[in-house]
Amino acid sequence: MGIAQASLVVDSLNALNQAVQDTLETLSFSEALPVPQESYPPLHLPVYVTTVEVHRPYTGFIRLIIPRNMAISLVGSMLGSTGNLEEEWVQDGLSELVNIIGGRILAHLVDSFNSFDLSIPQTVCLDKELPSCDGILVRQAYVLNDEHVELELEFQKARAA
Amino acid sequence: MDKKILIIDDSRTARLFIKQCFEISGFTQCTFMEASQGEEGLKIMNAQEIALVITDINMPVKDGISMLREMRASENLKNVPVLVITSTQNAAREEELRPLKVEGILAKPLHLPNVSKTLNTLKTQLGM
Repeated sequence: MGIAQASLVVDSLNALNQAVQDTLETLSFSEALPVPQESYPPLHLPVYVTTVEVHRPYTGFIRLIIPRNMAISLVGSMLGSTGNLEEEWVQDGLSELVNIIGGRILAHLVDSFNSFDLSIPQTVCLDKELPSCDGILVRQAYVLNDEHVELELEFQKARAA
Repeated sequence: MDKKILIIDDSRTARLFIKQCFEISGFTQCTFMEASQGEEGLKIMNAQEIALVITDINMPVKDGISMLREMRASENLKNVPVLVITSTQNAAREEELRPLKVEGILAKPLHLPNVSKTLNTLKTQLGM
């Protein structure tokens, strides 16, 4: 890894941690603690995968992978709901969460006088196979609410378009 | 009579957060209406008198910038106050929105202590 690439990884990781912690604290009053990936077992299926593509000034994507039960609990906490959540609310809540996290990451990484564009976030539920992590620039796991449930965020930032 | 506030965002979660934030901030004598993208928002604006539009930027079908350009080119809608609430806020975005004469640009997620000044100014403008 060259110096430029290493610097990008460090910047991206800092931006990622700040964005995740600030956003979750504001939306759900939850503390997200970054933890080494290897200290937790692989995520259990089913998971929700929420992806927002970065269109400008980089190309790439930001992806959140979260176990289904944790997602329901997190979105319920965001909405202040303790009852059953409709599937549509869970997916919409995750999409908004990643939309905000993505915006904050890009606002941190991109010079403030340059615009950045994100796609509309998409959330899907996977119950057979986790998404591939090939080519991912930064991966980070988080623990929320002392529940020892893993929240994993994957981030890839490709070369400038 | 209650003033109508139109919230335009493709996320129902975001619309709920925005509505709650405004209610907590004292926007109680108003009716909140919702649209999920700019085209739907313009239809509502053309059919009813809206006191304030709150809009996202990044939306399917018609995004917030396109909708704002149409509003400012329309005799009926050119003076409707608009507040932008977006996850893609920075200096460049503010520059892009400057000619569209918006009342303010707030970054998501809304954090009440950070946005109360803007919301209080809006309340005064709306005579609330």
